[in-house]
Amino acid sequence: MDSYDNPIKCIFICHFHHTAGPKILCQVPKDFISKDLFETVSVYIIPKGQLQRCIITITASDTKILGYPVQISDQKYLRNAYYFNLCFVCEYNSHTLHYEPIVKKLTAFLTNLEIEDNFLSKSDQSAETQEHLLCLLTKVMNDINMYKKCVLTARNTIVYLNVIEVSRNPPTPSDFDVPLLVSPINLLEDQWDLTTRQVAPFIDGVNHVCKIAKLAKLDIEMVTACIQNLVYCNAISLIDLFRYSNMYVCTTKISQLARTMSRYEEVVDAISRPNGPKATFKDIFNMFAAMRYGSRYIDICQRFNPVSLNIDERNLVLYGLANGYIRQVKKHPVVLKESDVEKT
Amino acid sequence: MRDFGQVATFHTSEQEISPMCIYLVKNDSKGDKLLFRYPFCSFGRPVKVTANDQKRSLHKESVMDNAVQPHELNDFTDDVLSSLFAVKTELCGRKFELKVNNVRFVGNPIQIQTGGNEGVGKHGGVGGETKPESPSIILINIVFALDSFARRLIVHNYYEISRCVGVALKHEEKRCAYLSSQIKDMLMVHDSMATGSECDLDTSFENDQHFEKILKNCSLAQYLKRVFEDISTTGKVNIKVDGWIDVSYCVTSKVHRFFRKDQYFEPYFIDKCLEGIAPYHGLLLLADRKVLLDSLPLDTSPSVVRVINMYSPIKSLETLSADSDLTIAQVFNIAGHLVYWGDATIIFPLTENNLYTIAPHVPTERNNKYALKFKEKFPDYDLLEVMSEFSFPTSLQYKMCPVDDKSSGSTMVQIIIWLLQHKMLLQLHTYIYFMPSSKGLGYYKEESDDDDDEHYKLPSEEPMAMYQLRSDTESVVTTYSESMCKAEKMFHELDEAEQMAMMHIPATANPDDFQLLMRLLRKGYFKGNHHIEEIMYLQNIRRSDLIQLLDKFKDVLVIVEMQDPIISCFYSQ
Repeated sequence: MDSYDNPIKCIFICHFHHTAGPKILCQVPKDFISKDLFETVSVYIIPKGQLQRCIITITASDTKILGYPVQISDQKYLRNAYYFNLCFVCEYNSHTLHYEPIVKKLTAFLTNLEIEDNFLSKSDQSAETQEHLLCLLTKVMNDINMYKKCVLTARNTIVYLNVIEVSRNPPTPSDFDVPLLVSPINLLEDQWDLTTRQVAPFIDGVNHVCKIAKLAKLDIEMVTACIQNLVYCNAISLIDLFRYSNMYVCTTKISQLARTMSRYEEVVDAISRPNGPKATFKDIFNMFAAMRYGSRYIDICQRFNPVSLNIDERNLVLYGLANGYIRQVKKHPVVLKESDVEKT
Repeated sequence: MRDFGQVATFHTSEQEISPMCIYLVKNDSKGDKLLFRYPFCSFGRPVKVTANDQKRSLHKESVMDNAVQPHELNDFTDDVLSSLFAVKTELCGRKFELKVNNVRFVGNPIQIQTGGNEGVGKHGGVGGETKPESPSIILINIVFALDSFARRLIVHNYYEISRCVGVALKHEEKRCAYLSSQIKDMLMVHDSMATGSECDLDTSFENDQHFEKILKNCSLAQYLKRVFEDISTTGKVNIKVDGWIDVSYCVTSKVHRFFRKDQYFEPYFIDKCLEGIAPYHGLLLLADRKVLLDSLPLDTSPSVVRVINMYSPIKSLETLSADSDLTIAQVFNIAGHLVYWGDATIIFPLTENNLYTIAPHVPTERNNKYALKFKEKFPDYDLLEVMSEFSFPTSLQYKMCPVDDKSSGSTMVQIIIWLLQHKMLLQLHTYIYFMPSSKGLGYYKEESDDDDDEHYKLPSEEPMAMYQLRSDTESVVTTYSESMCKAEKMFHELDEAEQMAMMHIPATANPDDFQLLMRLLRKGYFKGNHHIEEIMYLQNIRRSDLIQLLDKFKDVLVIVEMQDPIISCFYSQ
């Protein structure tokens, strides 16, 4: 199971009742969180003062509960403060990092409603608001589980919720890095911002960041940020500038290339020169196999003459790099003696 | 679009693997208390909880600003932490996992019965206070604070450590009331230092003194400190709780490290490597033999000691099993164990023909820590210079050229071993693909020979018999006509284009060459899964014969040079 593809199993709102203590206000689906379980974890859900407005995730028995406790101080409350928490419940072994911003945003939304007209605190008594709350939570849960996004409208406000996968920060691209498309960017989709729309047409595995900036008539900083964002989205990967003097070597993945015969056609299509007869797989594989330590790409090209084999040598390298069949070996010049550094 | 901030700080795996802090919390009839935490020194003034309201993006760098320095832990007072860690009884005896903002706490709360037993042993009370206590139940939780991005496997490692220490404490409590006496000592320090009416919020400075004194007086605190420090530095925990119970644990992701900072060692890499391990592979100890032998626990199996004593980087596991008089399965197991604990790695035994080249991502800065370490060991050589000599694949034979005198040759071997130990060199092997026609890998039916396939499963028992059996069947040479017949049959299984391609090669006419090629083909050695050395081992062929054969049939074979995939998982990719 993809641990990121985990549905929300339950959403509940609880608050601190001035006499009854921590109490579940409403939950969808009903009776998902048992009273026992709630009592066990209530310390973490309605926590002490210091932990207010902290994202708290507690793993208890077979559930993971993610909440963002909030305290609203106001004279109008019996204890001069109102404590509540909106919690998402997930499978205990799932990732919940990507739900954190949603919980925070929803809580902020509810906090506003509460400050405006005691939406939460009065729902204890009024069946109407209880109903309304139930509706809201059901919609959030269903929409997020189904579409990974949700648009909530309540009292003239609109809240957009969107699940975004969390992963590490990619490194800042250098000016000479070349972005290479991994998955196609569909510009018709409105999820891409203006810069990306301007930059995307120039991403062809040949242009480097600096050149893209020039072609797209954009600031290099903008392009760099955009490229980094695309790396984050797994839409592109960064490779080195293609040069004939580069050195490439086979990785252990090359055996997959040979073994998965079902993909031969795709490989041949991707690497053959356009508008001509197709290259043969053997020639392609031969060229990959020739990529060894010590032989520059130009040497290999001279030996095989890719034009005569209908191989597009640039695509060969791009395809190999994109699929990890080959990697580049780089030269690192080092000045050995400290005293020589000055001279250089 | 996301804002990645000005400085895209790169998150290293190091920070995710190492713990930020270790806590010991108790909860009994007198309430909960944070007994000890390490490290306890607060850096600068403690920050109060206001940081949480800051606008934080989902992103790492915002996480970094706060979580990476352990200071954020100071946001939480000891009181709050102890109330969080002193869980309800329903949560006892299972994994406790709590994430607050960017810190993930993991532990294994357990309930321990204290008092009531007769023998209040050597630790019984302080200052002559030895009145028997009534039995009570105390909850103990040893908690680690980790980066919130820590992977689940890593989190699980820490849970296991907490559990192991907890179990040891439970046993020691039963044996000699160790835990209750330690807790009593710790509480006494807390009480004696708590002066007057201070509230807890501003006493972090005071607290430091508490913990310092506890650390000085209580052995349990010292154990926890050692656990924390051992994991942070080496990744291996090896303590003897109360001088009695051994607690050993190994965080594999910490023990095996890559040069690339953002790459993780996944524990399944080891399984992958061990599954593929074969008798012709060799073992390379990462530490000095003597150091390793000394570090082994007292109750180590004598077989482990024997293997380590007989070990040499030029021996294959098969030789090692013969020399140490153990079955190969046992040697496999011991090798697996040593690899798991980061004491050894799997290599192809050093031979003259081994081709080495420099591994990716090796640090190349002048005077980096490896260069200095290297200089210490080999004062006459410079690491970077040696590395540059391996920029192109170089064989041992070439390095030890006969012009040089013998002593420099042996130093070279030592250097290569050192480089291999530090994963700076990787070995290249030659793999062969049978591609007679333009359509790619030849399609033919392989011989369904069980003997050979067995070899790839890690044998559990009686593997020696199996390996011997296999080489026997092969050496019992079948008659000429029979083998020719088999070769012919194999040949006819190829399709027309492939047969034609074969016909064009003059060597096909030579029955010996033809038969050998067909035999190797039939065994499935030409699909890029077996390197030359492996084929030599499995088929008992000499290197020169095989090289000649490859040369003769070079039009239908494609040669690829790459690393052994089984070993490559120990290198950054």
